[in-house]
Amino acid sequence: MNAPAIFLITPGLVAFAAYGFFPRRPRLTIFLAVLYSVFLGFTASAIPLGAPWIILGHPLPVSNTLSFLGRSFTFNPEVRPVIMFLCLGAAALLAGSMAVSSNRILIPVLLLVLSLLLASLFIQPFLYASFFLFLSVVLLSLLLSDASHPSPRGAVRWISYSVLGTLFLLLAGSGISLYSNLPADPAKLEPILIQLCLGFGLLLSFPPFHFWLPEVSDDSPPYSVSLVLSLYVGGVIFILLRFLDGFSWLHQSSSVYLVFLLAGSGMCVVGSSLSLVQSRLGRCVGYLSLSNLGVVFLSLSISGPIGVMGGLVLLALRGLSLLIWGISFHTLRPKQASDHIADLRGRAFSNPVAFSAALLSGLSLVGIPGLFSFPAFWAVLRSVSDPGSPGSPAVFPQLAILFSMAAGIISLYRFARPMMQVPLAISISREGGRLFRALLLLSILSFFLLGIFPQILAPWVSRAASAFPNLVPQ
Amino acid sequence: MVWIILAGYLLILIGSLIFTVTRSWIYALTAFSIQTLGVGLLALQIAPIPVATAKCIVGWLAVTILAITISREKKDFLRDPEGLIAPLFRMALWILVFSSLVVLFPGLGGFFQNPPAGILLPSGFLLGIGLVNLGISEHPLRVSLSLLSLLQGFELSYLWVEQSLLVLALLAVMDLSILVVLSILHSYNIPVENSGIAL
Repeated sequence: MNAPAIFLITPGLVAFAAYGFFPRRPRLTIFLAVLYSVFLGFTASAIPLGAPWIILGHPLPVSNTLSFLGRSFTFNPEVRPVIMFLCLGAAALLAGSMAVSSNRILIPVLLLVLSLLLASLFIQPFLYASFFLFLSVVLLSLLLSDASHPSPRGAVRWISYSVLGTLFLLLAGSGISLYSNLPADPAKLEPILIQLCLGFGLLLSFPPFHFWLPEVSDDSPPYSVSLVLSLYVGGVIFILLRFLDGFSWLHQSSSVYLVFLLAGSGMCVVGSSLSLVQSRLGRCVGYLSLSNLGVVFLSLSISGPIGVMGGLVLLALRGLSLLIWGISFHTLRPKQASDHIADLRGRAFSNPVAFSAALLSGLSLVGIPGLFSFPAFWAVLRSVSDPGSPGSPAVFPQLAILFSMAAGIISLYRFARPMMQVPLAISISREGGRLFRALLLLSILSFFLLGIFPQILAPWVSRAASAFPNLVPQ
Repeated sequence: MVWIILAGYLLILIGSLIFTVTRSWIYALTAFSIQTLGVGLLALQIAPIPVATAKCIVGWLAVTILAITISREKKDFLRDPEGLIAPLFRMALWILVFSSLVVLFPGLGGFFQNPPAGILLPSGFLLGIGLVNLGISEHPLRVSLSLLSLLQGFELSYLWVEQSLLVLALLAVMDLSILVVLSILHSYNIPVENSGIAL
């Protein structure tokens, strides 16, 4: 048995089967896809490497390398927690699609993207991970337009920015392999560092490369937007951490942490400032997610294990918030309906559960006390420090986080106020099925429960950091 | 070999000029095919014949996919009328890219591990012209051709750095996937009466 093949080839086969089976039994297809993702996650943790796997009393030899066209895909034991993280995250996103999906390609695309993200973890040398990341962009962009969201502008921009980002990463990669250790002449590193910054900046919508973000948030189905902002962004952050972990000169350089600090602060300020002036709810949450990503970067700017673990916890909570946002916003804004501030009047009365879930997910993205993102926000706020002199607090990033929280509350209040006004004609409709309402109510409960008891989730998520042994020594 | 390189240069210059200036799809696709042939000829300097041929085939495949997509729109395939100023402006941009490249050329080598000048010059030119074309149109199909121009420039220089089969295959997949996906996204935006097929 070949371990990488299980994670790279079988998702493709399942995706193919799901595409054929979906029109007849959509819910059952989604349910089976969720089970399959969970199965993949647990297989990643259970599969023995270098020893036979005993299945029903029969020993099965397991190989951890798959060779393909002259390159190898290697399953290293340290990536197990990351695979679990991605597979369980994908399972949650697949399960969420049960509440919103009528799109036949959503399940196959999600499974193929999962396979591509896993390929980016296995490929040796890992510099080529950027190819797989780009292919996942291409696949995900298929979800950004459909008959009810015909404008492809956001997707076109996203693909263009991603091509440029991928090219910069490949260029940087071709230079890095020459200097795997820190060269005597630091001038040689400067261009590589600039290329890496440009590459990841373009891929992660760092201002001024964020112009695809509002277009995607505006023109695309809400659930697809939440997939892009959670799964894709998570994949890019994992590759960024692999770059950091793989090259000693990168993670030993204080200028890298300074870049994270500046990028994070910039994203917080720009994202939350722009969210204040939006008149469409989709765009507003798009910018709030940018601001949230800034906090993830501020966490990564804290050198040592705490920064990486905090970043991964924030990433997981961001994914959860965006998942719930996608589902609830899908209900609040029916197909082809406007999400302009003036057209949302009274929506809280017609869809009270969806409105509550959407509001709480928005507030959670912002890091409001009492909700599940707050403990991680608080940890970053307390720990972020000047990379030049560790231990001394950096005032500007702390102010940026506080500003993003305040601006986020104000911008969400701007939209919530008209939604809570009594409409001229109250039309209270049933919000989806029983399962849908139960899912939203459960998510509302989880916002508070995980906010009060962060220890339920945080230790499990932070275990994924063990995939980066040079950043998080065991 | 010198003649092949010169022919490659000439084809790239002619192809990119027509592609940048014209808005007619049939001329743009023909120009892109010519440009692709030029890239294939220039790739022969550093890559074996099968690799250069593969680059040409990928480019021509892309043109075929685009031609099929456009022909399914019940729209005038030949003409997309506009005044004289716009083509002149685009020609000025083409000249600007070419002249900028001549000035900046000596400093570009460091980006790609110093490939030979015969590769670096056309590569930089295609990158520049791809970026310019990306900036002057938001039409998904034109964007896809601009991105392919940009990628052709990159791939030409990247051949100098890396020639493993997997990377070549992934670059080809990248090219074609961009085109296919942008064609599909474009199809959602076509008014039903203009669409020849049900998508």
